[in-house]
Amino acid sequence: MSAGDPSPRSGAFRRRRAVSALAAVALLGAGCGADPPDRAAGAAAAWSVPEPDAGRMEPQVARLLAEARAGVLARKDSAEAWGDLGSLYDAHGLFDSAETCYRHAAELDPSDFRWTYLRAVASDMRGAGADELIALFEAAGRLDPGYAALHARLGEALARHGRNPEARERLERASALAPESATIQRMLGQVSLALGDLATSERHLLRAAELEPRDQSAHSALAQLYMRRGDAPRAEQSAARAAELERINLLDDPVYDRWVFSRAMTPSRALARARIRLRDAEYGAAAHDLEAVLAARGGDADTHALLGEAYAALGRTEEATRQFERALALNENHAARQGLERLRRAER
Amino acid sequence: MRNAWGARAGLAASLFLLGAPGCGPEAEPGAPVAGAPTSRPWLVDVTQGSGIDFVHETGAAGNLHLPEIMGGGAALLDVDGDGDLDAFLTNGGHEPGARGASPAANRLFRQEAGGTFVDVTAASGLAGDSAYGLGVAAGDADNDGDLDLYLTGYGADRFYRNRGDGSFEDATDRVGAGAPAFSTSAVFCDYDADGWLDLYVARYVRYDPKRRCADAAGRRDYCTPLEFEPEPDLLLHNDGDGGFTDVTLRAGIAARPAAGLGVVCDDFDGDGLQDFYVANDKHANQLWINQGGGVFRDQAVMRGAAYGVDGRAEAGMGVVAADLDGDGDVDLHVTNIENEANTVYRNLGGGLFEDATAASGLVPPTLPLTGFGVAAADLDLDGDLDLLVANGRVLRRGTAAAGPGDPWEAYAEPNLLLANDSGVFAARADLAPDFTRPRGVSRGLATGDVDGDGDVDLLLARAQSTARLYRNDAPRRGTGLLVRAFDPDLDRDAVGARVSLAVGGKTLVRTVSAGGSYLSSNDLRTHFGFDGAVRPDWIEVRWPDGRRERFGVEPADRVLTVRRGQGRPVP
Repeated sequence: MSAGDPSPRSGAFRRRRAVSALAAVALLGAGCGADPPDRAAGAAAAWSVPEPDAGRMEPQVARLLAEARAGVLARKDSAEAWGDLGSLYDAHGLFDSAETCYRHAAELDPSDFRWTYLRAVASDMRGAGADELIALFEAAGRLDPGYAALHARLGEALARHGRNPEARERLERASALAPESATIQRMLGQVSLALGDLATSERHLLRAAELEPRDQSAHSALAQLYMRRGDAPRAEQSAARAAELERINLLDDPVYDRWVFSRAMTPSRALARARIRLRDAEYGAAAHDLEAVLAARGGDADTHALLGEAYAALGRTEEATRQFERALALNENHAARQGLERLRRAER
Repeated sequence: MRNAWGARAGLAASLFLLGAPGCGPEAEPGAPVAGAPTSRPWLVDVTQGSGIDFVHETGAAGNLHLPEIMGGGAALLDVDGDGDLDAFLTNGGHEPGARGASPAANRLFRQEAGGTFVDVTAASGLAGDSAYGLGVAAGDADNDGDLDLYLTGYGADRFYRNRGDGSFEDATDRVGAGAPAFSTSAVFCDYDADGWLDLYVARYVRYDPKRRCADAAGRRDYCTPLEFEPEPDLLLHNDGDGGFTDVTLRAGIAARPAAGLGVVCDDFDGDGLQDFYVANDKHANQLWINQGGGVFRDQAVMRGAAYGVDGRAEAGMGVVAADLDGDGDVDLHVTNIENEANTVYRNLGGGLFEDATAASGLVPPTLPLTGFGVAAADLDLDGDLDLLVANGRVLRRGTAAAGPGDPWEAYAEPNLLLANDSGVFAARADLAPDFTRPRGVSRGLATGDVDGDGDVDLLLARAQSTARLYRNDAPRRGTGLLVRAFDPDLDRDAVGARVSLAVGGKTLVRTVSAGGSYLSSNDLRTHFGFDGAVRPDWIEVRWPDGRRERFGVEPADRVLTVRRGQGRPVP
């Protein structure tokens, strides 16, 4: 997933706001089990608000969730409040609770793409079955059929469930909407490989590798493809290239980024997010995450070094130097030394 | 073979007759079962009264140390050469840093005439091992006709040489594997075909007991392996003089450290050389293809056996290598964490694999569960291999509330019986409620014909709980045959040999190996089920050096030993 700015990065989010009443009616008529909004608002008073075990949570997470939950309790007829709580649960891996909240949010405002879509994503994360996922993603798709990530996610889920022809169809729709997405090209290549269509697979995988040369998965799949063709030398070459790389998933998904990815507060999640942001050259956001990690749990050499890298890229040389030095104080053999030497060379 | 307790061939199965369906202490008669039983249960818990009164102890004291959530292991092996299977179970120990002697101990149970088990740990020389135990591998490392034991764990591994009478002496110093490490599953296998069994030891991570971890909501929980540096696996070459040499570096195995949990040895690409496959936790699985000359190359990526269908590294735990689709080559089944279905890698021939998880029907039943031990066995003797999976979480259930009560309940899950129907597997909890209904933190799973009735029984190890022994009572859709492939020149089972049974126009293929599953060791005899009304044509053995021989089979045969040199050579 690509790191998201606090604000949406594409027009999809705004398009969602302009959803037609027709689509909302279509969703309600599709047997999603939702009450019409007015009736849902009336029923909302009786809905219980999920409350996962917060006793052992990190205090800042527990506080954040408690505040959002209080927001729902104060406005049980607010789709926004339910959606907000759902996305916070989602961001912290509490998928069952998140799904419940998203479902209520969508019942209260069936025209809002966000909650129906995020419910589908959360269902996938908790391991829902293929038919359930198709129904959920299709419901979201009726609200915003032009949202490429939706088709890509559904395609990937269908492939996991072995429904490869349907998966390819979904991914082709995603590709038509986002032809420059390396991740969608790679997914298409993988599905085509599973279908035994080696020529199509190769075309997509080569395109994926061209669009995102750093992605391991495209090269891994190419290695497999060449081996199936009996071309062992090329297979070896691709496997060797893959071994030098890491898996990168750069699906442009501003709704998920804005409401889920960027909202995780635990240090471990913030650290993981910071690594992705550094890789994506989003240095300001990465520095923000790393500062939060250090404030929450103190420093280790890796975190100081990463923050040093972020500061260095932002031109904040003195602060970068300090962070590299702290990393080296904790571990004198740390690779932060290279960063420090790089800064000193630049100063000279 | 020497035998301190006297020969007891032709054992009675009275123990197994003692067990009644649902007699296990954890049977829950009122719990819902998917589908009503159509006949008598396939697996019956006969632990009570068996003499196997083993309780695994994790040593957990609330500090959530990683080794606690990983054990224990189980072995079914004939330690005393009397023809029946004995049982060995590994135990945990103190948590890291704790002082004093731990009450947890590995235990050996010898099977007596009548089918009951007696704890012989004290007399066996296996008592007093203070290491934190995890896995067990059995193999005749010194070609003296008895099975030796390699024990893995957190801290240091141990090697015990069988004196020939079922008692053991600590020979760890001859192996050179006593250095501190975090070892998991291990397998004996003669990778260089020199007649001496070598040893592959999967190793996990460089665990730091001071590291504290949390789940996505910041709640304290066990760490994932990605918090630590992975540790390279260990390959020990058997020098034939009682000692082993660490050849990890020379063999190329050290080139790619990964968090190894399960390992199997087989000839995956059909070139006659023994290869290794390692299930790695959150790292790409490895397929070490034997290049000859003691060198291996990891070709899992290009051969399609490294990742899940979406190209992601999965949390591999246990692994079994077997011909799951009956096409004559060796497929792989890897158990994974929840929200990752257990993976079937189907061998397309020549060691090229495709992910056949969904086509095998395994996504829905395995997706919500965390699998560890795994076995492929023809429970109902219909000619195809069913799957058994031991499950138990490594991370708390998200909704589980903290509080009084059994803290392990948050990690407990039911086990799976996946019945094979023409290569598609279906979860059939109804067929074996004793095995599938009780929830536990199951880990090691060993298979073998414990009661000598020609079918495969099970021994299950569970974290912080009792081990369970299951008798196979499946309604027979055919007849069972156990084949022991024995090499008189080596005075031991022909580990690595490929045994084929031609019957009714089909050829069933099995490999002689005690390896597979998770932290466990299985009966070395190969097992076949087939239509009893049809006379088998022949048994063919491809010995580890590639030579082939055929042997006749009588319809009445149930347990058959085929000896190298006594069959008809096959060009």
